[in-house]
Amino acid sequence: MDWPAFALSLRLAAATVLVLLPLGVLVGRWMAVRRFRGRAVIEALLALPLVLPPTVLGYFLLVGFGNASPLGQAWMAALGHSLVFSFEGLLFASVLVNLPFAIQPMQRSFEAIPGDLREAAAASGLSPWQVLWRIELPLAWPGILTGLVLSFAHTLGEFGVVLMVGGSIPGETRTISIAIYDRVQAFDFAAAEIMSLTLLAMSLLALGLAHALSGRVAPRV
Amino acid sequence: MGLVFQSYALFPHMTALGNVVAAMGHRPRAERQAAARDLLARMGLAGLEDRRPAQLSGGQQQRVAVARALAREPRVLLLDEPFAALDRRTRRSLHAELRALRAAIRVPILLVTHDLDEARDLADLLCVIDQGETLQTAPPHEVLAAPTGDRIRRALDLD
Repeated sequence: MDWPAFALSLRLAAATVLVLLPLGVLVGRWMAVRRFRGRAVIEALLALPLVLPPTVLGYFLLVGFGNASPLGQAWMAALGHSLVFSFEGLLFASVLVNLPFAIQPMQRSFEAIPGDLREAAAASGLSPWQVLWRIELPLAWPGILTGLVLSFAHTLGEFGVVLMVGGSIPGETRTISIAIYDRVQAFDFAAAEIMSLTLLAMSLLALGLAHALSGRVAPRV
Repeated sequence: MGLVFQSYALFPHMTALGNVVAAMGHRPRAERQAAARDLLARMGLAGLEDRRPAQLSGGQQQRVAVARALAREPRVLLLDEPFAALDRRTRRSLHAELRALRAAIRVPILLVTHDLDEARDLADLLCVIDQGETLQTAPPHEVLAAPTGDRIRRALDLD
C-alpha cells in the first residue's frame, strides 16, 4: 500500500470539495434560477468533462496552463514554481473535471424549490442573502452534499487528467490511482490489489451515501 | 402589504412558529417568539406552533400563511386567489374562516378572485376589473342589481 499516494489522493479530494462547495452552490443556484441567452451553451460547457476523454482534457490543460502559457508564466513569476506537475495544478485540473459532478446535483436541488417560496421569503422581508441561507440551503442540502460526495469519490479515482498534468511525482502528484498503475507496471499485483480494493470500497460507500441522500429531496408544501 | 400566496408558499422545513418568526425580522429578536405565538393563537392555531406545514390541514396552512403575512404588520392584506385550487366543501369552510378572520383583525383585506359567487359572499366592496381596467366599485348587491354598463354585464356574465 502506497500510503503517501493514498494520503495525497485524500488531500486532493478534500481540497477539490472545499473549492467546489462555494463554486457549485453559486453556479448551481444561478443556473437553476436565471433564464438567459446562451444558457444552453454554458450548460453544455459545464457538462463537457463528463464526455471528454480525460487525456484530451489533460492535453488542453497542459497547453492552457503549461509553462509557455500566460497563466503558467504568471504563476511562475508569482510563486516561483510551475503550475503543471504541482499539487496546485492538480487541484486546478481536479476542480475543472469535477464541475459537472458537483454542479448538476446542486442545480437540480435548487430547481426543486418552488419559485413562490423565494417570493414569499422576499415578501416576508428576508434579504436575498437570508433567503439563500435560511430557505434555500436548508432545502437544497441533500443535493449539495450529493455533489460533494460524488466529487470526492471521483477525485480519488481520477487517472487520465492527473497523469497528464501531474505526472507521477511521489508526494506531490502521484495519487493512488496512478500508484496502482505503477504497481501493475512493476508486476506488484499484491500492492495493486490492496489499493484497488480500498478505492472500490470508498467508491461504493460514496455511491451508497449519494443514493441515500437523493431520497431526501426537498419536501413540498 | 401582506401577501398570502395561492399555494400558501409556507417554508416546509420550518414549524408554523418558525414561519411566522421568519417574517419578523423588523422586530427586536427578543420579542419575536412571543409575538408570533400571539399571532398564531389569534388565528386559532394555539397548540400547533411546532407542527411543520406538511402536518397541518389546508385550512390550517392557510391560517399560518395569513399569520406570516400579518407578522409584517401590513396596512393591507392581499389574498391572491386563496381558494382557487380547492374543492367546494373545503372552500365553503374556508370562507367561514375568512369571515371570522376579517372580524378578528383590523387590517383591510384585498381578495383577488375569478369567482363571482365568492366575491358576493365575502366582500364588503366589490371592484370589477376587466383587462386591467376598473369598471365599477360598489357593494356587491349594488353591482349585481345595477351594473353600470354592458361591459360589466359581460365581464360578470350577468345576462
